[in-house]
Amino acid sequence: MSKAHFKVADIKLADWGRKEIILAENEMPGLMSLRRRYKDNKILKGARIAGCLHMTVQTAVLIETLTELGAEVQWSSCNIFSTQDHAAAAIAQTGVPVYAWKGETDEEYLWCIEQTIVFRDGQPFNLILDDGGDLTNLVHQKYPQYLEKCRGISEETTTGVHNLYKMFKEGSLKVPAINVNDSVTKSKFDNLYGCRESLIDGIKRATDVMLAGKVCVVAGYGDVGKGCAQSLRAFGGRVIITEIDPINALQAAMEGYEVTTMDEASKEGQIFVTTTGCKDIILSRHFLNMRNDSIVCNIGHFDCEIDVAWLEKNAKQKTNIKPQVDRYLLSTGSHIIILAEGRLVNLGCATGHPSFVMSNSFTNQVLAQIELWTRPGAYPIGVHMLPKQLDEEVARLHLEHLGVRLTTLTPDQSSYLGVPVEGPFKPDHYRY
Amino acid sequence: MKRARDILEENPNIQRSVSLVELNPEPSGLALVNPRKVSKKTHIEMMELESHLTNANSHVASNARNKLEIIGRQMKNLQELMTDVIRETNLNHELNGAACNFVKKPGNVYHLYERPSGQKYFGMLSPEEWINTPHKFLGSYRLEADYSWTPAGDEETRHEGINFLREIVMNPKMKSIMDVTS
Repeated sequence: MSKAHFKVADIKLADWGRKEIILAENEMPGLMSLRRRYKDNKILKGARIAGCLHMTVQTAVLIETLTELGAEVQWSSCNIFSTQDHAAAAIAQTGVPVYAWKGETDEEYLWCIEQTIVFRDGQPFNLILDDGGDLTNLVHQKYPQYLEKCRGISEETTTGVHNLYKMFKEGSLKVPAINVNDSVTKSKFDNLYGCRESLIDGIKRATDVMLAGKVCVVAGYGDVGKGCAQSLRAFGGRVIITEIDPINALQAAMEGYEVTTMDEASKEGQIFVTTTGCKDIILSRHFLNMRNDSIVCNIGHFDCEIDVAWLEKNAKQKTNIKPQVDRYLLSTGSHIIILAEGRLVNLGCATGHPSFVMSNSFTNQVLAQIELWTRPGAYPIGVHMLPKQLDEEVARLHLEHLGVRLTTLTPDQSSYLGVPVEGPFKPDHYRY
Repeated sequence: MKRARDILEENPNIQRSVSLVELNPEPSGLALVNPRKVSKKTHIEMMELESHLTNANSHVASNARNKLEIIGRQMKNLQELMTDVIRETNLNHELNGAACNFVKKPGNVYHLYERPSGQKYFGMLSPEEWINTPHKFLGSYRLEADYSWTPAGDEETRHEGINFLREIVMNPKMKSIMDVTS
């Protein structure tokens, strides 16, 4: 039986999806300039890319960039709830096989990924674009024969990169992989600037709370924490930081934030944000310390930073205010408001990262795919970073949209610094 | 249960023997010379009248029976329809309450499966789309605009009533009957 050419929730949503894609294109200048640069020579001609990444409007712009560069693309989503059905419909309508809808079962999720492996002419993929590693694992475990002609994998996110390093260490990785996650223009921008806007967006949509004057506690002062603290402060919040790393703690203090422990901060705060990537950050004793109607949310790692399970078990009462907003009554008589059930608040209560930030990480993805496709053999089996110069190129492609005028080194300056006029400007260990 | 005939027979309104108009020996104030002679009758007249009455009674009775028969049938049909409504309502509740990860949209067909745990859930994929269906397939259903469900394949019978009426209006045989009776 020939497989379906696509499977989406409702193809009638395509027009709406198209309108949003057109809007997003203007905010994704990196991808659009790659289209202009490479569309005539179809640099990805012959590439058959199996992609597995949140099927959103922004991803639609990524997909259409890849096809405009000459690649054949098949797509699935890397999360059972993250698909935007109108974006999926718009992509399906262009004839790109896409298998994704909001609210898949786990079995359907794998079915969707499996549909992207063999293309219409019966040939398997020869490139993989992955987010989280499920597609990578599936082909390694179930379809290893297809990896022989695969030129490589580009991986979007931390979880997937960990998985790649683990596979490489075990010797099970069969193709070269590019770690897109750790490009400066990906993680630094995603984490810092993305969360800086989407945290507030999530809190406001969920609660409409006034931030000015409130005591806001941010657990963790890494890239995510720095962004969150900055935007809470910008709204007039008084921000307290908790940290385990003395360097980050000192950074926070030098920025003028109070730094203390959660045991102390939990007595003061009215809004709590966890950003650590660690577990067990806000626990029962902290809830019991908190002031009435404290708002508690997580924008760090998955769902283990806040002990929502304890609330579920021990709260005297739980009231659902609206989707993703729950108010718990404690034995002390005070209430706790939990956003997005302790999962990522910017995804649960808002719409995640804006297009412009995604343009940074997706431009990395396209450059990684071009590297793997046009330079077979250049990357041995293993996990690689994009060369610094390409990272810089990603940033460069986003400058014009913001009206940035870049200064160029003179040859004299260049030789004085020992830095080429066209870059790379920084050594690999530079931390930005 | 009482049958139509019993009802008729017990009915005190039913005249079982012929009754003649009361005699008046002085019609309009004028005394008849011999009222007995005037009102004398033979058994023939009585038989004719009796026969007419019996005939009339039996016609009325059978007419009533025919009408009751139709009403009875309609009631039986209505009762069946009532049972259908109860069954459909239960099914609709069950299907609307089945586990499901996506927002269901009227007009679309979804597929009901049962996990080994016994949980019933709606999926987006039909058994044909699965190469190996992961769980027991229970049926495909279309969600209607009123949030009721139509089993796949029954889409036409859902509108049985409307289709029937449409047929009546269009049917030339029916038209000829109406023309004759009017």
